[in-house]
Amino acid sequence: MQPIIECKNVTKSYPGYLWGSKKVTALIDVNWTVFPGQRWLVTGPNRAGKSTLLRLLVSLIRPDAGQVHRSGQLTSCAKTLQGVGYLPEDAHLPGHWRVEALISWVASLHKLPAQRLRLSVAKILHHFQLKDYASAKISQLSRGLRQRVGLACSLVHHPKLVVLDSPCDSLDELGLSQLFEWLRRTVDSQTVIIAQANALAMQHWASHVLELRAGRIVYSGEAEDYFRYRNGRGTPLEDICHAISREAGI
Amino acid sequence: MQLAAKPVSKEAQIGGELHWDLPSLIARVVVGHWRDCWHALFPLRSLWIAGTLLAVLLCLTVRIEGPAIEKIEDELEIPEQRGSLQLLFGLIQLQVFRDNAATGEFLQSVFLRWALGPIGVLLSLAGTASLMPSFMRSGTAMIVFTSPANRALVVLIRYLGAVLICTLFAGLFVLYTTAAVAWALHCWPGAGLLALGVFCIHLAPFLAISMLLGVWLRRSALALAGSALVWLLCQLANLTYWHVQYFAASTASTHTLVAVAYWLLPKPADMMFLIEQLSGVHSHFSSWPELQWAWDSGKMHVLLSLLTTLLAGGIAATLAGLEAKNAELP
Repeated sequence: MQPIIECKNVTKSYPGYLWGSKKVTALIDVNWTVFPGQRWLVTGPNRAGKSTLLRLLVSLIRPDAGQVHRSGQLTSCAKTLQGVGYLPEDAHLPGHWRVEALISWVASLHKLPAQRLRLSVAKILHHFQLKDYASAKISQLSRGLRQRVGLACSLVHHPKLVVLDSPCDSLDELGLSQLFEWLRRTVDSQTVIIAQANALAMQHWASHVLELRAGRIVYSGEAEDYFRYRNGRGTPLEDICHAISREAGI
Repeated sequence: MQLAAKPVSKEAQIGGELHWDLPSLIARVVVGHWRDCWHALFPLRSLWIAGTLLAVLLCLTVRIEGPAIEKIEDELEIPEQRGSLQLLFGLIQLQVFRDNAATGEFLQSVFLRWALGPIGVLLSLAGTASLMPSFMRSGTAMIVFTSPANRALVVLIRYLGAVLICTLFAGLFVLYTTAAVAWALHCWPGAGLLALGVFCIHLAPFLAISMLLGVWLRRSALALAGSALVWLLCQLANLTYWHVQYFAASTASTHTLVAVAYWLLPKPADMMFLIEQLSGVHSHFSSWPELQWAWDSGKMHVLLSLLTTLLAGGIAATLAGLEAKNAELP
């Protein structure tokens, strides 16, 4: 089966202080493969490189070295973004747009036909309980509501690959339950990648976990093993890593 | 690794939609971009509205005092019969010896010369300088650049939107000042709307350069300074070309160099001269003698001049699009 995401020896750095002379390396030699239908949790402490990895997947940035393939093509191919929904970390949505208009426009950008567009927008507004705010301006909404609008924007076009960066941030209990309800409904063909520093929040949802530390992968594999270790009842992390390395023939 | 139970077709993986209503889809996407541009161009709208209000107020205070002389063949022979044109309730007084219609035309020509000329262009560049830098930092860019939309096309759509909005506000300026002059002097001076098309072509390449700098450097101040500098240099190249032609006193190499620069670059001096010709400004103000000579002797190829200016704008806008295609949003 063709992977939906494939990162090969990906390295990425940003210009840092002193007018960019000192570079900050965000990712170092990352190899990662995601197959359709998998539900990945990308976790790690702050500045581990989670958001950078997700931005690479949706073509917002390019790798310094290595390659990132999406649906079998390099991420520079914009065509493959048609089936991708992305929620950026701390999504600052354009404040002058009205909620429904923005969601409809995003659906249009993803080439959703007019007949399906109205239905999809209505459904997503209903799901995230945004109907009452449909004609409100984004700038008038609270941070939590804006996050819900961001989620609605990233999901309205029924993407096959969903990439959510810290979706639980700013969400209240209702928002979280709506998100988890949507995640529960995801079908096998839909691939979801979520970056979240707090891994335990996603414990019962993820099928796979990728943990990053200082830009390097420290764990990549099944969620069950990972959480067994995290909860102190299973194989130590090092042993899991060795097992994966053996499996991969490294 | 746990794999998905069902294999998925490639089309399904990329969320392919083979059938969609293309015209309505394009219309929705374009309108969304222009709507976003409209909001982003708040500084431009404010500057034009402020300028228009000032000009309209000025026009509304116009009064002609003293003898109003009708249809005088040779005005210079009867200077003692001049009246005075009063602006701002008499704060500014100008000696006139024209009738109402001529005074109205004179006033409008002053506005057109500057509003559709250097002030209008620089004002528009100042108002649009933040368009691309703020877009590249905004959530809108994040949404647009993670969609399958072609980034170069997105920049072109926004560029066209900005040109149209500038032209719209310049048009409103012309319309409102004309109406104010008509109301104050009971005459309709208006030929100014004809010059709007030339203003649009004049502005287009410099706006494209501003957008290119905005995408590349992501600083509004640098986009404004850069585009204004390019406008100045193009103006210089344009005038130098006609100067060299007029005096015919340069070496062959200088002549070629100046000609190449003239034909490759946008031609702001030609555009402003055309605006003066179209709006009747030339009957009240004298133009550059070199340009007047080029016009009179038929050396100025108006169509070529317009087309090459448009082409330069197109090239700069395409470069801005390509720059956006390779841009990163960290």
